[in-house]
Amino acid sequence: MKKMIKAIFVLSAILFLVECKQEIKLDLPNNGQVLIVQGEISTQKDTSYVKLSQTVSYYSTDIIPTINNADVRVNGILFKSKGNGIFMPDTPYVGVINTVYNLIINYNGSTYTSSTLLDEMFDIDRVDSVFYPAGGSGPGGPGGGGPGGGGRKEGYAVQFFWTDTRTPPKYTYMRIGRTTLEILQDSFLRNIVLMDNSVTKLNTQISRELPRHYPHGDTVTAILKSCDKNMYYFLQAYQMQTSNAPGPFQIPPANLPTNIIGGAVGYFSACDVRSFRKGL
Amino acid sequence: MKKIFLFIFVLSSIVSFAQQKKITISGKIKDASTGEDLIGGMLFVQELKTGVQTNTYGFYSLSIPAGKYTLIYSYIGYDKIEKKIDLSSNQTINIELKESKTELNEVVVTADKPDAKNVQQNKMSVIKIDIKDIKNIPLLLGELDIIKVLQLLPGIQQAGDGSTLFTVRGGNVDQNLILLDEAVVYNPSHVAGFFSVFNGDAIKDFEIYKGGIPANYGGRLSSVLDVRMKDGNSKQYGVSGGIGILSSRLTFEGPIQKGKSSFMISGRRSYFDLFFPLSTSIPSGASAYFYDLNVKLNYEFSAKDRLYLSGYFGRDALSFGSSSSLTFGTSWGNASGTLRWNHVFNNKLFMNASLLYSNYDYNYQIDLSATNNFSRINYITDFGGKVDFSYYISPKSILKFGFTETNHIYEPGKRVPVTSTSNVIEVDLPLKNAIEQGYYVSHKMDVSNRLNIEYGLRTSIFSNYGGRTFGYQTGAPTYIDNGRVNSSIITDTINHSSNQIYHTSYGIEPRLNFAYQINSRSSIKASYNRMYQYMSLIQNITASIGQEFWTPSDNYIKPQYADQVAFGYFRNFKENTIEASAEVYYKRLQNTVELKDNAIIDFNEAIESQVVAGQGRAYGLELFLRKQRGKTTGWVGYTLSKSERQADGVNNGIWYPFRYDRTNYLTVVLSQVLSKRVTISGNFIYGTGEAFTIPIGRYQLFDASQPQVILYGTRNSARYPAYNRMDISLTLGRKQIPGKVYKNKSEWIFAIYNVYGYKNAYTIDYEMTNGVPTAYKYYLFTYVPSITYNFKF
Repeated sequence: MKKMIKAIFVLSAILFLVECKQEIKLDLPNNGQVLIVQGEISTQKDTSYVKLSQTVSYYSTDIIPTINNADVRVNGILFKSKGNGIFMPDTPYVGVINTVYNLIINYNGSTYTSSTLLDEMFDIDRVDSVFYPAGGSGPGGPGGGGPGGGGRKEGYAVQFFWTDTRTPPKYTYMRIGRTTLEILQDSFLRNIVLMDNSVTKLNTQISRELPRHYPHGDTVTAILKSCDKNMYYFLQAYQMQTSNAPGPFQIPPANLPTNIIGGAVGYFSACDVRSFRKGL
Repeated sequence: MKKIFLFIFVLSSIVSFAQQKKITISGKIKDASTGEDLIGGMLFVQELKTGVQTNTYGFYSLSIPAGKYTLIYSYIGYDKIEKKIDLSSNQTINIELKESKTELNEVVVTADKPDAKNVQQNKMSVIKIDIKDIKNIPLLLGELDIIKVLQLLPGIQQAGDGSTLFTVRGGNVDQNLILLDEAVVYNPSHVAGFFSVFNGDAIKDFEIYKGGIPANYGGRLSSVLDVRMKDGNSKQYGVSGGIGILSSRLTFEGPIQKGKSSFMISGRRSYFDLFFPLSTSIPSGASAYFYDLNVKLNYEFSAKDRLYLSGYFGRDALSFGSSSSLTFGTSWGNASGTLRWNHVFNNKLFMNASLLYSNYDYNYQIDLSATNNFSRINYITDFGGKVDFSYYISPKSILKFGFTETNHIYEPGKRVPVTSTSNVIEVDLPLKNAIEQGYYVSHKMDVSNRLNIEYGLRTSIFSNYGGRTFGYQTGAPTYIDNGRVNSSIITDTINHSSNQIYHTSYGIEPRLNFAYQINSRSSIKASYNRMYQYMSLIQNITASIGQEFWTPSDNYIKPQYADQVAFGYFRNFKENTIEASAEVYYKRLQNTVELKDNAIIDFNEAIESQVVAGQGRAYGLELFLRKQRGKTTGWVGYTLSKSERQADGVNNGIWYPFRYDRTNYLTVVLSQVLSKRVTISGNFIYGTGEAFTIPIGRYQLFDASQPQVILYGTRNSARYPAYNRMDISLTLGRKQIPGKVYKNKSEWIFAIYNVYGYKNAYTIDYEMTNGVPTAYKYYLFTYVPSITYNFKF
């Protein structure tokens, strides 16, 4: 009897705590394609671009098609197709702080428009690294343990310091790369760090530790960009919808918000950029 | 003129004579072994073929002409008492009924009286359940959970597998008024919704109204769940409890002054986090537990006055990280208190006055580093009172009236750095305050032997005061652009002085129930009610883990209201041992609070900019067949229903299915007494799958290393696979030698939840698996066995 009780005891606990998944086939409607816009005006020279692509049906194994035959203009300046759906200006181009940028896309008989403000970024004062010995709990990552990892492995955390003097609310998002970062491809890690200066101290040097630990020899790169409120909410929704948190913690599925008018989805953002690299 | 005076004189004389001849019997009906009031106990006068039942405080009053009568006192599951009296003056008769031994070990869901109540009463869409009658029903993890029993009844459906959240007749999960000893319980869930806050050992009985809601209740659109705690045994001391796999409970009760006062204290604590190390999927350093405590005292000052003091305190905690380095922690809990005074003014007038307190707080703490840490706190607190009067005009006429006033305080958010080195600044959003008042009167009368009616009116007033509100660029907090709901820009901030009322809403809420008895075995019934609701639960994940919060209606968020009509045919068979009913209903909801897509609700003071007013409609047919007596008992319930919502800017303004809309919902509950020691029970549920929004495409943002984004189609246009589940349990009582009297009781309950292990979809999610888009259903519970040992001595 005691053995039986013990077995059921353990079994119940495990069954209760572990959620499971099983593949299912959905009978999906076949809808038309929708234009995807990704546009970024940057204060970094010649990195501003607009990228156009289209949706595919959910179960399609086709490569997501890019659009190269659209007419794309930002504040009247023509962005020409460079292939792979990317449109860039031919002449040297640098975004200007406190400027409103207006995007107009004419494609397939339809017009899509958007507007955004280029806000100033704060400057980074310095970047440090901190060594954490093995043991205890803490942030996970390539060199760390973290939740589920059974304790932290030894590794380095990266801290950066800044002083924000901008009048709140100002929004920033940060992308973190481990060894290299290709700016045009936005190859940031999955967790985008969003910051709102209305919740942090102003005119005081403050610091932040990147949410991962790295082994000796790695180079950590971070890019910080200012953005307007629309882009901030867009990224927030993007993170929530792609957070892969199914089960009881899943938020209601919804299409991402967009500041593109005319029936397309995606975003058009303008940013002031700061970045740092730290060898460990 | 003389003729008129003569007519009035004669009429007055007749009325006066008739009144002088009426004698009133009043008193209480109690349990002989515990002294507990029996709610819904019945007094029947055999010679007059009339009767009355005790109110929610165990009190009854009946006025009849002087004479010799046979009074029959009864309550389901108890032996009847017949009492012959020669009634010549008003009398107080308190009766104690003994529990019927033949009813033990049976699953009995009872009506208010054992006879033909199902047919005779004007109440419809109401079910009352005695807690001791449902202890054998197999439930998840062996926990006796009243909400999960409710989910086995027609018209009441669970919101997700294993969840204690429920919907009633197409309403939202926040449209159920949940009361524990008259105090509001704002979050009825423990452990992400898998346990309810109601400890079965501390509960005396509960009643749920799905429609035809009496005028003394208000504040929610869809249902009222009225749960009452045990008063405590006033005759003898007792200990009872249960040891389960994941939690245990213990209850003490007994007299303080025998026959006059008693106490009850009941606690429960989970310990499932002890098993976390057994699972590789649980983060190290994780902790999760809940506990709750129910306390009740009562004192009978005199035959006319009795005071009750009861309280509930419960808490959940969930954290990841070590004790020295917490990474994430959240906790939430309810607390409530009720101080109640019952006073009998005379044989006809009864009063209950209550002082009420409710609190629900929820907070979390994030501590990622010395510079990045904070805790967030939210709560809702109620202070209030209510006074209810019952005036027993005659056996055929009862007048009820009263009022209630509650002061609500909503804390929309307070963020505090955990350490002084944190970069996070402290922010305390201004409190939102409101006073809610309700005034009601209702009259229940037997128009004839066949027709009885109850009609009433409630007026509700909701006044917002103090705090801070915003002005918006477009004049409203949201606007629709490109077919979507967008938030307006805040252009103005208005600070209100602490007592300044800046907005008031009113609601007139008529209520009507009537029943026409076709014959002794069948009747038809109808009901109508309008309900107002002045607060909404803002929640954007399914689980209840303390992230959700309540927000009041105000100058932007309109009060919700609903109209419901219902018709029913009720029929009893085999001398009332089998009850059957068929009810149809239609419910219209207005100003429902719908979250806009991708709503930002966390720490958002301007929550009105994240919601949109919608409307809803729900209609359906409910069939119910149950057998209450004999070795085989149980019921079959079936619901055919539809529930839809519409809101401008959502789904292009087109009506769409409500998430928990289930076209078909079938429940079967059966219990078979095999011997005096052994009872076997089982449940079966089949329901149409929940509605969900189907993907119509996918696309890539940023670069290929990022997760792809889903493009969704029409809202809630698809269905999860159908839900079905069977649970069984075996109750093994103590060995008994015939003829020997046992003071102590004990039993083992062995149960399996989802006995054939069907993988019911909890949610559906999408992933790229090896570059191939794939849809998955996530399920939570398969083959969940449990063992519970219950004892009482």
